[in-house]
Amino acid sequence: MAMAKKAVATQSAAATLQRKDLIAIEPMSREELELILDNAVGFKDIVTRTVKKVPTLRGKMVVNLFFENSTRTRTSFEVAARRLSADVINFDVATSSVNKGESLLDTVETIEALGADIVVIRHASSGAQQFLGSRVAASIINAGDGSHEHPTQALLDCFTIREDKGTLDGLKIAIIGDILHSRVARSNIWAMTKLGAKVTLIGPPTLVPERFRDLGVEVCHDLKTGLRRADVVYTLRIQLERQAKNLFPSTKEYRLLYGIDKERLKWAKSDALVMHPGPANIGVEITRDVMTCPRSRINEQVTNGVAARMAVLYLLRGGAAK
Amino acid sequence: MTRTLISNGTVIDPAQGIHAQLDVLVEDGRVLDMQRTIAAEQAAEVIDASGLVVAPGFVDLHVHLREPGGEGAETIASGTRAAAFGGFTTIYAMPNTNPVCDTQTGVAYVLSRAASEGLVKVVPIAAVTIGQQGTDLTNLGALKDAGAGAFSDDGHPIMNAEIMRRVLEYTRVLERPVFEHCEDLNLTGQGVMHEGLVSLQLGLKGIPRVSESIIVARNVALAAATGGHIHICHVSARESVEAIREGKRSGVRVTAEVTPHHLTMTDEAVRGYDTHAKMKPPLCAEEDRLALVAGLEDGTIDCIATDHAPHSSTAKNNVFDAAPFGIIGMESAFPVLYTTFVETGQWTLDFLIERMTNAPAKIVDRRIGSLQTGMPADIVLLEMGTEYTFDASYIGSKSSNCPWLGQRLKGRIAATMVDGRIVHRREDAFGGVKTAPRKRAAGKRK
Repeated sequence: MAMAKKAVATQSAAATLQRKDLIAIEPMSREELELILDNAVGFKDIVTRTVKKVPTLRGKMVVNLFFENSTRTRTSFEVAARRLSADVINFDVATSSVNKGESLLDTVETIEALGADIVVIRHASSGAQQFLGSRVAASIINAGDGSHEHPTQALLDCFTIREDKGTLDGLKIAIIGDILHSRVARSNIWAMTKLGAKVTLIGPPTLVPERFRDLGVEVCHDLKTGLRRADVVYTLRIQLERQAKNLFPSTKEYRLLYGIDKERLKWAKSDALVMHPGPANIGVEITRDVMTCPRSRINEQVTNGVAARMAVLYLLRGGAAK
Repeated sequence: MTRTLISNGTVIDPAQGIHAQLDVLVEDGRVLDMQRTIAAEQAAEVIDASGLVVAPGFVDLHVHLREPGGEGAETIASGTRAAAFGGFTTIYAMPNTNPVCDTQTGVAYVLSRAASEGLVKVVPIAAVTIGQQGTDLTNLGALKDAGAGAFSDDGHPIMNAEIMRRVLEYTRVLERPVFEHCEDLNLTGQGVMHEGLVSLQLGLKGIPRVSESIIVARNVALAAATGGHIHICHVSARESVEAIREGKRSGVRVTAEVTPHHLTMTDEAVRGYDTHAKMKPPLCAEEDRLALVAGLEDGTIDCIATDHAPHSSTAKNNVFDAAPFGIIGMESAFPVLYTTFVETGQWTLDFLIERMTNAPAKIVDRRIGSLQTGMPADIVLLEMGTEYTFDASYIGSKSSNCPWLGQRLKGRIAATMVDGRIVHRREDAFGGVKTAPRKRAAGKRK
């Protein structure tokens, strides 16, 4: 509660992000991350009260442009934008001329010409949002680019951890799974280490190359060793198509070596939080009973996603900078 | 009988070990004489090369001219213009056009277009296998007779070792090298850049170094087994340099080339998802770059080749994954290497010129790459005194996918002569240093 009051005070200080776009966590400072998290506290209050709407972005247009399917993230952004009273357009890529060979840049320029102030983009190619951000005037928010980053996911994850633990400073956070191909993992590595946590990556060498150590994290190929004294157990969705590329032999083998169940959860601290960005392969990387145990914050992550995204939308376009 | 005199320049001809103030007399397209002073009356035309270096025209063993089939990005006319702008007088054209240059007709087409439209000499490289499919050999002997100067499936590495073995065996008697783009397509997969810390951070799919070095090692072993001549294209990884070094040490007929971009850039250039840093093989790590430089210096790598690969700006102005591989390279090759290695004192100008003239010529054709009397008057005039912005006026290509555009460079092409005829001339590179002392222009930098 004291936390929340402090955060609301920060929000009213009218600080804004000095950036046009939110592309990646990597180049951001700890202060910027904390500004967003502090603002998210206030927005969570709004989300959980009876009248869940503020006029902050009235008259602004937010366009959701998702080149990869994602009901969860798109809906979360849509809810966040509506709570801020923005006009929200979901641009349907499947039926648009994008599939008729129109270039990505043409598509976004068209959307901008329609009056978009903020374009939320998910794209399968790493760097797509950076490419667009430097070519259009609208604010670009990265909702996931290839294997690169998914910054708002990291923000909501750090928000969720901070809400529970008060701070990330000194916490040990274990991230388990396909780190190599995970934009969630990359954004979280940057965000969590910037906020003072110690991150341990766990998985087979094919999915967790040693080189990740150069990013200032630990790499561990053994689940039991990696989970020791962990304050947060963060499991990633294992992409089943990776199996076809022989990055791991089978889901059965993955579950045997890296799956989190009730017994293995005991390898971490007794008050360790359980998190997952969703949607989970239940019974592969995580069992249902762990997902629904009292220490699970998986549903809280979804709720906090709206608050974190409201904070980002507010700070990029609702703030005084414009 | 027409005579041209190039007077007052400093001649650097590494093949003859010449680095001296000499006048060069050209007659009917050939070098007639080189003397301390040649009377101007002897020639119909006099080119004042005061302050300039006079060198053999550069030879590029690795160029993509895109014609036929890719005329939107380059044509034989525009590609040879790029060559002339870059000081290249003989260029070897890769066969990955559409259709692939895998027939006598295809070779004849390139030669006839080059004869009618080309500013510099074009030597077609014919495909090794039909359609560059890696399965059935082309009529290699007939292609040689039609004018193919080498064989290559560039861009489509021959994955089947048995086929490469037969190719090396068969071409041994044809006295034409096999140029191989060494890449294991399984190891590369969907990779778009060097696999390393940068690819890890950017979330881009990496190409491991071993993807190249494993095929280099295989090809060296096959050349050893067959006695054939394998030429390794655009070496990029340090393990590849080592495999070539070992091969040469044991007497294998292996030669190799390296590009200006691999000598001067690393995967750090990809940060920001700059598609002008996307090429194959990819820009590797600094340790690889240093191994390439050392390999070129000790002769493990024979020569410089540009892998000039034009792509339209529409194609390159894209997200990294979707952009095509490759950059243009002929116009920038000399300035970039001069600025990076000669201006800094690491190399002599003679060494750089040797690696761009006589060294590539030795791999393919000993009748070019030098200014010996009787050789074709393929000559480049170089100006080194001015620092300038490498802008669009230096680009002769139809495409502009060049990472050095806008950079400050030193060393440029004042004029390019092919068979005694000026095919490119940059007025602002002449005359600026007329008062320079008549000695050792190359040595008086700074």
